[in-house]
Amino acid sequence: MYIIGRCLCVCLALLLCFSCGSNESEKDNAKQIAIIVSTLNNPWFVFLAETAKEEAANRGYVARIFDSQNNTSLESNHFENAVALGYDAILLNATDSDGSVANAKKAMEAGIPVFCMDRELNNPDAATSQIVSDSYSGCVELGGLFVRSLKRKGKYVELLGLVGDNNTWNRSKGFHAVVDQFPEMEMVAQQSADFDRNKAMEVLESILQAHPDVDAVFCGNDAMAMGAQQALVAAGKDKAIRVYGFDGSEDAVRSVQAGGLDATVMQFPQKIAETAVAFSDEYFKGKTEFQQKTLVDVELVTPTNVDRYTSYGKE
Amino acid sequence: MYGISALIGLVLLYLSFDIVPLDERAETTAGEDVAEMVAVYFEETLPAVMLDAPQPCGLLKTLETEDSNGWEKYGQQTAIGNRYYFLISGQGQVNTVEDDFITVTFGTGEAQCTFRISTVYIFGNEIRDASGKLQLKEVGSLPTFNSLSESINERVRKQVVAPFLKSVKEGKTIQVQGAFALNRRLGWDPDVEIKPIQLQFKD
Repeated sequence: MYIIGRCLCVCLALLLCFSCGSNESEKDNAKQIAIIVSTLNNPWFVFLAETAKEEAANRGYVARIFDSQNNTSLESNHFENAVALGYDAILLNATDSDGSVANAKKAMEAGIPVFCMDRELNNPDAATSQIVSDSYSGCVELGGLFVRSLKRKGKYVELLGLVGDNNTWNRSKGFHAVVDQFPEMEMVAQQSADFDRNKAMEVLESILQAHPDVDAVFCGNDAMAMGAQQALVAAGKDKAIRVYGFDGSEDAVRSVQAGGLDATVMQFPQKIAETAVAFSDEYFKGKTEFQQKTLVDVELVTPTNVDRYTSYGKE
Repeated sequence: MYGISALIGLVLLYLSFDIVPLDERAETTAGEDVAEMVAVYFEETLPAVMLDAPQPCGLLKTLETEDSNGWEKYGQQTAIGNRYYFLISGQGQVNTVEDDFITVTFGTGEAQCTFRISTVYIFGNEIRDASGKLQLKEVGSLPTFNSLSESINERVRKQVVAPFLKSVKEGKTIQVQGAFALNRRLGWDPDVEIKPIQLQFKD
């Protein structure tokens, strides 16, 4: 009996050791995903990166976030580190549509798949697949609302995002595809405010000095729209001048609810991040052919439907 | 003598090049491709697809039914998300002529329904995407895909709507072929506007 008891104890101990070793080994073998993000100063990108990290963990992968601080040189360092450390996939939110191409190619050449999230790269060979919001179509819809709200006639200002980012131009082109069809819509100023709230406030304050009679402001993202709104409140013109944004950020959605912004376009960073991780998962399981670009719908948020939305389109 | 020869050489060298900015060349090529694709779409693809397009009131009833499979059966999606595109075809009577749209009543009796048909804001991807026959992966580039919508809508505004508006009056009977988009999460939207593909007077 004593011998049988001792044997059982030894077996149990061996089993425990074996199972611990097995867990440790599984953890060590878990695929690693690097999430390289343009900036963590903007809550939209924080949400995108955190969602991707969470989704990767849910699928049993180890993910780490790298902040490029809107600097392609820093982004380049992150790519070099990711390659050297043997990451198995990279989810990239690019700093610059052209400037980030070389960085992404480094990883691709090293055999590491790159899945772009939200920001496009201007070279199809630089990424395995690009998952992007349909910014152009969102701004076509927003442009229609803009013209209707102004009854097809008025002066307006456009605040552009970063000039090196494709999203800036996709949004601007979509908007102008509609607005330019109406000859009595006059753009009195078009300036970049780098997707930055403070810069947008300063730029609009300066524009209002030269054009105090504008009817509306179209902004390429919500941070700029909130900055523009702030400038209008300071000038006592927030009730007279309409402001439109893009993103569906928390403060923008609240502002639409409160009668501040006239509209924003909701992006779905959760869907973008989840799709990017799902693609990585498919890659790890052997899939090699991916659609070059996958579009994610965006939705127009107005005072009429804002109660149906939460920030960043969270589900 | 050498100077004149060199000058002639330089002139000949200059004339041997045809310098065109790269972006201009790219636009021209894309523009020609798009025009051709749009022509094929209107003349071949859409007429074939429209043969199976549902009647407006029948489709509306299907989409308003909870847990309906009508969204998948009749709708098309081109992106990840909630947006579905639909085609409709039917004969109806013009109710009102508004600044931005006309309202048309289709069907009779209890099966009657009224839709708005856009006459001004004909923008967006409805006509391109509702057939399900034009896909980004086949078109290749996103700018070209967007240009397709622009060209399709422009053609409708100029060739379909402009002549139609010259003669439209309340009470006229018309044949409508059109496309619209709906958000599945938000459900049926009574303010939705149908983008016309064809508008023909029947009386």
